[in-house]
Amino acid sequence: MKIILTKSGGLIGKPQRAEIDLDLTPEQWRKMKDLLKKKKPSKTVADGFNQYVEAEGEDDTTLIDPVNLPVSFKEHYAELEKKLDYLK
Amino acid sequence: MCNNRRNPVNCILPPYILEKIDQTNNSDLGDQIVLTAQATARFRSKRASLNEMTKKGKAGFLRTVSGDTDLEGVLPKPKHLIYDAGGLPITPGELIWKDGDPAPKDKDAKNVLNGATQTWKFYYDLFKRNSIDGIGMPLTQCIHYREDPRKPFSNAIWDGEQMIYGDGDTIFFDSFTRDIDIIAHELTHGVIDYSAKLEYKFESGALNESFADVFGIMVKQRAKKESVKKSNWLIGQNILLGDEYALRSMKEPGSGYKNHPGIGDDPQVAVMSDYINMSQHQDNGGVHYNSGIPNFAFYVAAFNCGGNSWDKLGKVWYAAMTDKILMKKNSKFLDARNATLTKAELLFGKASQVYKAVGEGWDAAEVK
Repeated sequence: MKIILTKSGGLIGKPQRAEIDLDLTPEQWRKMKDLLKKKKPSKTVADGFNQYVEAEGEDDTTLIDPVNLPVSFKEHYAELEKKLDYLK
Repeated sequence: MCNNRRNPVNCILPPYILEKIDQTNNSDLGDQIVLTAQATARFRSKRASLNEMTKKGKAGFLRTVSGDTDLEGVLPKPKHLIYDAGGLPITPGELIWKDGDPAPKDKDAKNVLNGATQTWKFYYDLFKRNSIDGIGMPLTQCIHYREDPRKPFSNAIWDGEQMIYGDGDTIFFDSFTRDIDIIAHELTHGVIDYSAKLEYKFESGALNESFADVFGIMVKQRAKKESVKKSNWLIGQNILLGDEYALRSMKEPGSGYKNHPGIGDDPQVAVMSDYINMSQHQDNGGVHYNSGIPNFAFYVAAFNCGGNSWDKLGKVWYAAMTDKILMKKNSKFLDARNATLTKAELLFGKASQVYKAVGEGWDAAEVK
């Protein structure tokens, strides 16, 4: 399953994007999203970044808080974050 | 867990300690150390700033009132607190400069001190507004911040209490303290929090962004003594490395950068027919994309007024932004048009060039 991280906002506003392949079943991904949703960012900050994940082809984005990730997603996030590149 | 590979964002510890934690393979230990270090750092910072204010008897927020003088008849002055996050994801960090200290040595500290002073003077000299909240709130700024200790932070934010600046990646972005218009932009987000309280999403969020840019450019123009015709109307000209690039253009939204090797093309729009509908997860509903529309309205209005932007049009935009009846948290561009026209009429009359120019500005941006 291809998981996509998008980092948008910031003073620049331009989105950055990265993707990784994860060996997850749709059910495992649904559970992961439920965990991520429980730890969503608590407040919006002017010029702060929004970060969200989605599975390729899925019509559902999940906002994440990089400082409050579920343990099971931390390594995946670190891998995605390294690959972030601006969408030109 | 504070594992160097697993959770870069929370870590505030030096690399050698992180390596030690890695070697112990004890994630609970890592978590405890990080939480303790974060709490200690926050406590130290708050204690340091409170101590400083208490020592001098200058708890400004208690003592200063809005207007020409405070309760003791003294002309208000800006109160600065500059902190250094030391490349860590902690705010505000260590207090490195306060009023009365010798000039700061750190160039970013110098930049934010100058930028915030010029912005405070702009609001006070022109509108008698004493600081962000109008009653002398200290200007708290945090420099050398990183979300991840191993990665430079290419951004600047207003977090509701303070302005926070990253150093930039030095490849595409320089330090985010380099442009006075960006410092004024962030500080103005604070002013909006204490006035119109525009919700930071969709059209009201784009208005919030635009007010921050409008006051950002006026502070820059006033500091450089530039008329509307002399100004280049660029926001973040020095932050984005390369002479031909800037973060945004108010004169020609969408032309701040083109074919940039790192970030491509500027996506801002200038007119309502190009308004971009985005989800709230994407840039809070496109706040930095659609802010080009009210930005362009201001530019056209200012250009048609002539002279200095802050002399007449600045008064109109400030009066609109701080009118809690005309501007509400969910106001849209059309509300801003109506508010600025109302204020232009009240301040300069319906037959004035200012009133005419305000209407022409919004018309040019197709907000009608």
